[in-house]
Amino acid sequence: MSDKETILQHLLNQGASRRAFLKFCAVTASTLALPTREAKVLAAVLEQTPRPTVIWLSSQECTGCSESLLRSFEPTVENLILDHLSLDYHNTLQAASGAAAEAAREQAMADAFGNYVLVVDGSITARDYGAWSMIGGRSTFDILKEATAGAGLIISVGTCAAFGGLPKAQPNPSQAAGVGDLMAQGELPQRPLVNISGCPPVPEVITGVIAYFLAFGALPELDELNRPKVYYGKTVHDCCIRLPHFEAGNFAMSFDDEGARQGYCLLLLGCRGPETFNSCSTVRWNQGTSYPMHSGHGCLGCSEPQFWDRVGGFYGGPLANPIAGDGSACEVPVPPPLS
Amino acid sequence: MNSFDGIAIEVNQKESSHTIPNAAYPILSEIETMLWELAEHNRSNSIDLRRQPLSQTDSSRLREVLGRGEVSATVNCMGTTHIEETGIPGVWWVTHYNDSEDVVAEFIEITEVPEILKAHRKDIPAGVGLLRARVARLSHG
Repeated sequence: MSDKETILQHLLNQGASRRAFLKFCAVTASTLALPTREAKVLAAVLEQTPRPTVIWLSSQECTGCSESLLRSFEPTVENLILDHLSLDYHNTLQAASGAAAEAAREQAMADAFGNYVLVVDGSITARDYGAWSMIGGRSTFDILKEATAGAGLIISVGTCAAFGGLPKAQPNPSQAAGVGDLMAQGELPQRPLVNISGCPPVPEVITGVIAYFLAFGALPELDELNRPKVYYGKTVHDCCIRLPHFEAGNFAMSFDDEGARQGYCLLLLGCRGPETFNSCSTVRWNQGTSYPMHSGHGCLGCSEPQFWDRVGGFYGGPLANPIAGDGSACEVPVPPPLS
Repeated sequence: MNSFDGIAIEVNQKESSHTIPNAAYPILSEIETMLWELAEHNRSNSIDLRRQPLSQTDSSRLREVLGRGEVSATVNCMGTTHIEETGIPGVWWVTHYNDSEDVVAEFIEITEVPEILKAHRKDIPAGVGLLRARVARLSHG
C-alpha cells in the first residue's frame, strides 16, 4: 500500500469525528454479522489502513449501480466512507476527461499495482474486437483485461457485471458476459472476485465487503456464485414481512386489491422472492427504509442470473425452484472464524 | 420514518406473561457470563441485538429485566446514537440511528463505559490547543 493518509485520518480531515468512525465500524460489523472480537479488529485495522486505490471501470451499463451507491439525499457514514476511498477513476463521476483522465488512471494503477480494488459495473463484450463498448478509442474489454492483471480484489457490482444482466438477455446481440464468465473462459486473468449482484445492488453491501477486505485481507465466505453469504445466504422470501400471509395461504390477486393492502403475499403477482438470494428484506433500501414487497410490488429476482429471460416475464410463469420459508433463516449466519 | 406499521400483519404469539420469553432468556444468560468476565478479567464485550431473533415482546421483556440506570446519553454524529445505562452496573443499551431515525444497529454492551462515549486519548492534545486558542481570543476581546 502507498503512504496515503489512512481512512480515519481522511475522515477526520473532512470534519467527521472519531465517534462517526466508531459508529461506521459498529454498523458495518453488524451488517457483516461479525463476532464481537472481529468487530473490534475491524475498527483497529481500518484506523491504520491507508485509503485504498479504487479503480471503477464501467462497460455496458446504465449507471444505475453508481447511482445506487453514490447518490444520497443526506450524507451517511456509508457514503462518506465510499466517497473517500480514493476513487481514482470513475468515468461518470470524475471531473477529468479525455487523455488526461486515462493517463491518471494508468498512473494510479501503476502506483498501486497488485493492491488496488477494481470495481466493475456493466457487462463486458468482446464481440467485433470489442467495438460494441469503447472508451477513448479502446474497447472496455481491453481496458478491463489490463486492469484485472494488477487488481488485489475485483468487485463486480450489479447483475450485469456479475452475470451479464440486461445486455445478455436474449438474443444477446453484443455477446455480453459477466466478469466471472470471462475468467472461467480464460479471457481475463484469474483474480479474487466478489459478485455483488442486484439491479442495482444494495449500497451497504458494497461498503461492507470492502471494509471486510481491508480489515482482514480476505473475503467473507462466498456462495457458489461468488456472492458473500452473509448478504446472499438467504432468500428475500425467508425474511419477508408478508411471510406470515404466505404461510396462511393469503395471496393478493391483483395490485392494490384488498388483500394486497392487508399485506397478503404477492407470489401470484409474479414475486420471485422464494428463489432470489439477496439482503433486500434485511438490510433494506434507502438507508433502511423499505424494499419492494414492503412497498407493494413483488421481487423481480434481479440478483439472480438470467432474471430478464425467465419464463412468463415479470408477472407470470411458475417459479423455477419454489422454497417454502418459515422465517427461521432470518437468523444471520455467523461467519467462520478467521484462521 | 420506518413505515412497517403501515402493513397490517398479525403474527400470533402465545406467551405466558409470567415467564421470560424464549429469545430473551439466553441473551440474559450471555450477559451474565460477559458481566462476570468484565468483573474478573476486565474484558469488555457486546451482543449484537440485530443478530438475535427477538420479537417486540422479547425486547420489551429484556428491557424490563435489565431496567434503567442513572445515565442516558445522546451522541450526535451521522444521525444519533442513544446510550442508556441499564439497572445492571456495567450493562449498557446502545442504539445507532441513521439520519432518518431508523435503527441501523443495536447492541448491549458489557463494559465500564461504551467506547463511543469516551473522548479518545489521541484527540485530547488537540483539545488543549483548541482551548488555548479560544481563551486567547477571549483575552484579546
